[in-house]
Amino acid sequence: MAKPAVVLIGADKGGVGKTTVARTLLDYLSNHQVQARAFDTETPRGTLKRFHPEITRVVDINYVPDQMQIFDTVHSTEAAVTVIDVRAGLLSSTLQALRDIGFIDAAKRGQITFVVLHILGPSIASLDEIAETAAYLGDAKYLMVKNFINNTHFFEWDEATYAAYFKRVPDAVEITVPKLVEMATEQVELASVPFATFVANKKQGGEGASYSFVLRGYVRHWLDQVWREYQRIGLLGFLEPRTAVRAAIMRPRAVLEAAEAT
Amino acid sequence: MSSRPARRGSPAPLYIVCSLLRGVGKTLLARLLIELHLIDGRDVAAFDLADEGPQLADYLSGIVTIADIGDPRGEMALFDRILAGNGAVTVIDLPHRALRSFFAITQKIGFFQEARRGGIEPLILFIVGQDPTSAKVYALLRRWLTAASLLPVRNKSEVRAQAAAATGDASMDGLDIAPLDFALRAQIDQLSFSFRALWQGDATYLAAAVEDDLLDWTGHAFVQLGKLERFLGSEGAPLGAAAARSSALVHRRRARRAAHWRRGPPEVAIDRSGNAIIAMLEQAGSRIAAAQVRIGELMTEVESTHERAIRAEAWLHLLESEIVDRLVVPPQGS
Repeated sequence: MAKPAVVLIGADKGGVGKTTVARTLLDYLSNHQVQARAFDTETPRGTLKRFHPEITRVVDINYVPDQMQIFDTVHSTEAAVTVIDVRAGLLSSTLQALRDIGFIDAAKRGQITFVVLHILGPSIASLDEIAETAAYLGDAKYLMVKNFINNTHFFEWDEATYAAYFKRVPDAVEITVPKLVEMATEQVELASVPFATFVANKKQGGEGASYSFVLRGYVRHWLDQVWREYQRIGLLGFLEPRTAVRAAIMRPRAVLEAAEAT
Repeated sequence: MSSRPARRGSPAPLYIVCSLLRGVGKTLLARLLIELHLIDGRDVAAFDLADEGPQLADYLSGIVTIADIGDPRGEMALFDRILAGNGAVTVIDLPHRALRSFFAITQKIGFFQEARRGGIEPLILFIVGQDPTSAKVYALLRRWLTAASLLPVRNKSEVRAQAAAATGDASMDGLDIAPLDFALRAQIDQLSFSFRALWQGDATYLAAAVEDDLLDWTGHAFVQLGKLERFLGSEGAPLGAAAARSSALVHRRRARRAAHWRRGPPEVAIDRSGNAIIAMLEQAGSRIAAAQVRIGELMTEVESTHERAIRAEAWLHLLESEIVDRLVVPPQGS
């Protein structure tokens, strides 16, 4: 039986695009036929649940019964990947709680694949959180996500500051999520559907929609860029290795078929 | 005007007329395309992205929509509308300034692929200009835009394009628009000129010989443009009938003139170039006269303002004297 994977997505403050990144990940997994489930800790009303209602449950990460619902079922669930959208500001405390219940040790022992997506904001306070988070990571795969929701540079123009923060965790991997045109973002918000569903011009129930082709085109282009980042770092490979192998075998055929079609 | 969509089973053409330079006949080509299809009774949607005049919309207001792709809202107004076109022929007049951003957007959102899925066949008509960069850009577009057809156009009716045609890549198969002499060009450049009116015999203000020559030139251009729909895979070509009609019209008019000459003394030969020049001079004269009137008005205004300034200065002097007398110089006896 394949090793289950748990992905924690968090940020030190709200408004950095944490749930947006979680949505792109769920779309990526769905696109690769990887069964996933999600837990939205923005209790009582979860944002993530609005976009992926069928696979998302709203929980209180500080409530023991909800903790049991998540972590006691990691091995028994049919979903290969469990995605947890951590409420803003609670990433470090959640990691601490996971350490206290032995989850980090289980990951260290190889019983679980544990990935942390840390969504960074363009502030020193946000970058300071990197070191704080790193202290609880154990053997978790640590992904620092630079989400360009505005025109920030994440201090790339200041080499010393950039190196001081982004090189702090030796095995950390950086992911860049480019900015999506604001109108397209808003249209998807209004539609309340996953990004991939919006691109396919469908509503939540699967029936046809009439979204703007231009905005769908922008979302498609942006989602492609985000997925290429996931592909570049081999995310599928450590979340669901069997699917990654199958995807690698199928990739040349897909490229050839696309070439023949043009 | 009767209208009909694309021929059943044929894709609806989307023509994008563009060039790297100004003044190479892009708008003229767009006008020909639009009016040709209107003559044929087709639905036409036209968009003008130009930002300096005279623009396509100036010639064909009521048919042409001015578009601006500077923001997503403008992009949606253009591209979403084209995709919902219901089989209409679409013509886009794309200025050199918007060339890069236009094609960058179409590539990003996959516009040409979506257009083809919806039965719209995009064809980019790239007018080769004098600048040697034109050939390089053409080659670049050819490699980059795999989802749209691309055709070079040599517009010999423009002086700049004539030079380019002489130096350009003769191996490029494309369209050739015939040279146009000065007098005929002056007629076509009038904002009031209509190829449709010419074709339907409604351009009665034209001298017969001028009309004949314009019909010949237009017929030749229409035959060239008629190749486009065969290039796009449409069944039949609307311009075969149009060109034949042109020949028939010209022959009928020549026959009528010949009959008139046989009946009585020939008309005095009219120097058509001279007429065109006279028309232009008269137009220029009217504009100069209007400018002179305006200058006169402005001079009157200046004089009036000058007089007011003189009066104001006099008042100021008076006030100054009063102030000095009453406030500065002590009153007698104090």
